[in-house]
Amino acid sequence: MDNKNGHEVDPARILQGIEVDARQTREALSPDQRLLFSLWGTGWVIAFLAIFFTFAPLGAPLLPRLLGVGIAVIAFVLAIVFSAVHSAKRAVGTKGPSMVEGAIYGNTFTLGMIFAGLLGWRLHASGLDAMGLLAFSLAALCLVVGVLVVAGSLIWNDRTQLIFGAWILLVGLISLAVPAPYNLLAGVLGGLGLIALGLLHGARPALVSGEVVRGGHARA
Amino acid sequence: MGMQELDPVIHAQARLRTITVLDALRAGDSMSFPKLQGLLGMTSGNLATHLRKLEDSQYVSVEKILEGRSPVTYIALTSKGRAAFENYKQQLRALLATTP
Repeated sequence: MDNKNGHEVDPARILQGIEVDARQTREALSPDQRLLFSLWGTGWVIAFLAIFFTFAPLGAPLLPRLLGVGIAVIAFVLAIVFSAVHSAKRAVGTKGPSMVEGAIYGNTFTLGMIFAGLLGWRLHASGLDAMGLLAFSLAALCLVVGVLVVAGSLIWNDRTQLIFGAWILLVGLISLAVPAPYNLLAGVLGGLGLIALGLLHGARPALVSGEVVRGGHARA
Repeated sequence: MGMQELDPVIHAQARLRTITVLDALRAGDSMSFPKLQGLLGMTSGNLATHLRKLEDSQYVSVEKILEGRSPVTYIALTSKGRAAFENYKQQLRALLATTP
């Protein structure tokens, strides 16, 4: 196939080049999903195992309460800080409505977490015992994360987020079906699921990424 | 469909890559000159030359703003540029479909 200057044109090669450049650009501008899922999965596993072993084995727990909670707090804080720094680095040099949407979404996440924490504190102050608080805490965490991530999957038309959010909601439901403190193992399961999602995202991206709605309004 | 119908503004490798990178942004978003240059791996002079051609065709918009005390240039794909790029890809697909 020739152009008017007699140069041969290979549409397949040009389209392939466009595809490669577009994919590399999306990867360069978006947070590394493999990294974030592995990070948060590991955080969940460590945090919920640490808290679990402040209760188990029953009667002779493996960890002092303060140490277990401290490990969990450190695991979550590290995950939050690392994710925020990584995402901010990828977003540097771009501006526009997406940044505003991202900021509103991120702040809603923070507010949801604070809301759930205050609700737990209020319930505890009104007489909810430690086991009741454990059941509430994990379920509330999963509810906030799951609902917001599923909503995010629709905003950004991103199937990975849909799978992530649905998994977290399922983990929340499982946690409610198991009595405390064993419900915390659902949190460990949730973390393992996130690590698996991160690995699948790297090894079999077609399986867990792409659009929620084909030809949807938003770009993944 | 003949080759002569392909948009000559887009059909130059450096400009095609520039538009492809800018098309990855959502409508209304823009990218700083240094970020775009880093993603494309082009010299600033070369990129500026191609951006001028794209701007002349109204395919990109260029905005200079102050960030702190430093002036930063942001580039965005216009709706005309996005439509032209879609049309260009459709023409390529049509050419591919007619290839024996």
